[in-house]
Amino acid sequence: MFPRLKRLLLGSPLRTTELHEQKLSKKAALTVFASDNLSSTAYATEEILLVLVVAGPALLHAAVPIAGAIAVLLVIVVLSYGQLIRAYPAGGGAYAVAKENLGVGLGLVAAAALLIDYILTVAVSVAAGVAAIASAIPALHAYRPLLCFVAILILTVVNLRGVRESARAFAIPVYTFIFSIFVLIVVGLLREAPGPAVPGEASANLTQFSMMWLLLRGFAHGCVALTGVEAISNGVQAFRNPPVRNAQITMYLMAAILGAMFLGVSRLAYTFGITPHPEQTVVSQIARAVFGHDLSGSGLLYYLTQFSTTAILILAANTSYAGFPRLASILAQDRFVPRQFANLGDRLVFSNGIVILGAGSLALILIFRGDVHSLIPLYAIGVFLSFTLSQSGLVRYWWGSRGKGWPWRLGLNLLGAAATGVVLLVIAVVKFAEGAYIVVFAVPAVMLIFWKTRRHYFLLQTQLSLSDFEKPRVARHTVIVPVAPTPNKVVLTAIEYAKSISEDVIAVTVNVDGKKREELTQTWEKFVDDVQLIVLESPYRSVVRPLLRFIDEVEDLRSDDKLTVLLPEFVPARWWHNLLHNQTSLMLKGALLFRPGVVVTSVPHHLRE
Amino acid sequence: MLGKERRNQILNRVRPLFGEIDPEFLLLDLVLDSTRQQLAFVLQKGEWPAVVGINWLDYVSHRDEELKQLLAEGLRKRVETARRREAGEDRE
Repeated sequence: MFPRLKRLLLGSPLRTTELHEQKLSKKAALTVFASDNLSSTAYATEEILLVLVVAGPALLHAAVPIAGAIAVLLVIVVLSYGQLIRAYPAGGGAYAVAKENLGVGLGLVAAAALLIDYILTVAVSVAAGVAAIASAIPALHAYRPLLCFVAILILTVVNLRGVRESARAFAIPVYTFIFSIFVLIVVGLLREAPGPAVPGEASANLTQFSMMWLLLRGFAHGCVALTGVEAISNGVQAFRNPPVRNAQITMYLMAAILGAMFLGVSRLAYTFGITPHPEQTVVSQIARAVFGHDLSGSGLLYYLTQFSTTAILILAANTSYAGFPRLASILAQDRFVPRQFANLGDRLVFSNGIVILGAGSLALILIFRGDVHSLIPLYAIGVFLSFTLSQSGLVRYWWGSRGKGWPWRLGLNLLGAAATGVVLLVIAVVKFAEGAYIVVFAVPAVMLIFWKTRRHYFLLQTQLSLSDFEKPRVARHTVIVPVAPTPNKVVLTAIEYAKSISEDVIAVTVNVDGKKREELTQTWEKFVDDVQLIVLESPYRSVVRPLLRFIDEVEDLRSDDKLTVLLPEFVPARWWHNLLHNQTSLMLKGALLFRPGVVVTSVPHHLRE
Repeated sequence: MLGKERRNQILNRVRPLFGEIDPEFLLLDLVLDSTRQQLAFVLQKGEWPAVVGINWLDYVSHRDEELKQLLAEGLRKRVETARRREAGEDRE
C-alpha cells in the first residue's frame, strides 16, 4: 500500500545516470533559487513601516531612505557573493568558505545559522503568502494556520518529486509576480496620488535617541529583504555549464529585480500614505489604491497582484527546499549531520533534508500560529551571521591566494564583511528582546548536535577499524530458543534450525498461566525428545523479564561460547493481524539489541490468509 | 542430553542440598552440555532465575558435603551478580 501511495505522490524512481538531466538553466534557476529573495518585497516594506508607525505618520517617510540603504547593502552583498561563487564553485556557500578559511568552528556557526534560517524562510514565506491571500479574501483570515500547513505539505511533496519539476511548476507564478509588481509600480507612480502623509504630533515627542532607535529598528526589520541572497552560492552545482558564470549572472539579475521592486513598493507606500493594517498587507493596500478591487477592469490587476504574491511567497519557501538539503548533504559528507542527509532519494533529490525542513517549518507554524510578525524577529540574524562569516573568510582567501585581481577582490569582500557585520550587530541588538534571542541560543544548540554527531562517527570509525583486529575465537556455540508453552509448527521449525547450527540447544518457556510443570514438559517431550525444555515460573506474569535474566545467566555460565537467541516468529499475511498477537519476540529483540555478545536471530514462519 | 532417569537421580541428590543452602530457591531443572563437562542447575527465586554451573567431574567425585559447599559458592556468586546487574539497571 505504502509503495503505491509513494509512487503516486512522488513519481517513479529515477536512475542515477539521469542525474545530469536535473541541471538548471538560468531562467529555471531564477525560479528555484531566487523566489525567496524576490518575494521579500511582499513584506520587507511592511516590516519597516510597522516599526516607524509607532512614531505616528511623521516618521513613515523614512521608509524610503531606509529601503535605499538596504538596497545599497544588497549591492555590496551580491557583489561580494559573486566573488564567493567564483572562489567556491563546488557550492557549500558560507559553510565551505568559513570552514576553509576561518576554521571548522566558525564554519559550523555559519552552517547552523543557515540551516535555522532556511527553516524560518519556509515558515515566514508561507505565512506571508497566506496573509496576502487572506487580504484579498478576508473570509480566509481565520484559517491561516491550516492554509500554511497545507501549503508546506504541498511544497514538500513537489520537492520530493525532483528539482526539475519544481522549476517547471514554479516558473509561471514567479514571473507573474515580477510582472504584476512592476506594473503596480509603473502605474502607481504615474497615477495621481493622494499625497504623502504629513508629520503629526507624535514626532515632536520623540527624543533624538528614540528617533535613531526607531530608524535602526526599521532598518533591522527591513533587512529581511536580503534573505535568500546566499541560496545561489550554495547551489552552483545545480546550474548548467558554465555553472560559475551562469550562477553569477542569475544572482546579479535577481538583485537588480529585487532592488527595483523593493524601492518601488516602499516609494508607493509613502506616496499613497499607507500604514500597516492587521488584516490587509501593505502591498494589498497599495494595489487596491492603484488598481481598485472591483472584479472587472483594472481591479482584476489587484487580484492578479495578490494571487501572484501569495504564489511567490509560498514558492519562496522553495529556495529553502533547494538550499537546506544541499547544505545538509555537504554537512553529512563531513559527518556533522547523519549520513542519511547525503543520500539521494528515488527522485535524485536529498529526500531526508526535504522532509526535515518540512517538519521543522510546520512546527514553527504551529508554535507561532502562522503569524508573520511573530516569526520575523527570529529571521535574518542567521543570514547576516553567515554573510559576515563567509565574507570574512573570503578576505583571508584572497589574501592567501594572491591570484589575479586579488587586491580589489579582497577590498570588495572586506567591504562586504564590514557592512554585514555592522548590520548583524544592529539586528542582534534591536531584535534581541523581540525574539532574536531564540536564534542566539539555537545556533550553539545546533552546533552541539554537529559535534556530537561528528564524535559518534569518529568513535564508530575507530572501533570498526581493522588496524587492531583479532579474529574472534568461537569455541562453542549455545543456542537458546524461547518458545510458547505448547509446541506448534513455528516452534518445531525453529528447534530443527537451532539443532542444525549447534549441539547445545536449550528451549525455554515461561509458565505464566500457572500450569503444572510436569504437564508442560510431558507435552514437550511428545514432540521433541532431543532438546530439553526449561520451564521458568513467573509469579508476576511477565514473560520478558524472566527470559532476559535466564539468557544473562546462561551467557555468564558459558562466557567462552557464542550465545545465540533464536526467536521463532510467525509473520501474518496482513499487517493488521499483528495487532491481534502478543509481540513477545519483538520485545525480546528490542531488549536484547543492547546486550553485547548476544546474537539475536529469528526463524520466520509465514502465515497464509 | 541426559536421560530422564539420570536427570531425576541428579535432581534428587542436589535438591536437599540447595534446600539447605537457600530454601527460597526452587530447583527447576538441570542441563548437561554437549561436551558432557559442564552441569548447570536452573533455579528460581520469585521472578528471577539463576543458573549454577559445576564441572561434571566435580559432581561425580565430590561427597555431598563438598558438593553442597561448591553449589553454595556458585549460588552466592550468581546472587551477587544478579544484585549488581539489578542495581545497574536501576541506575539506567
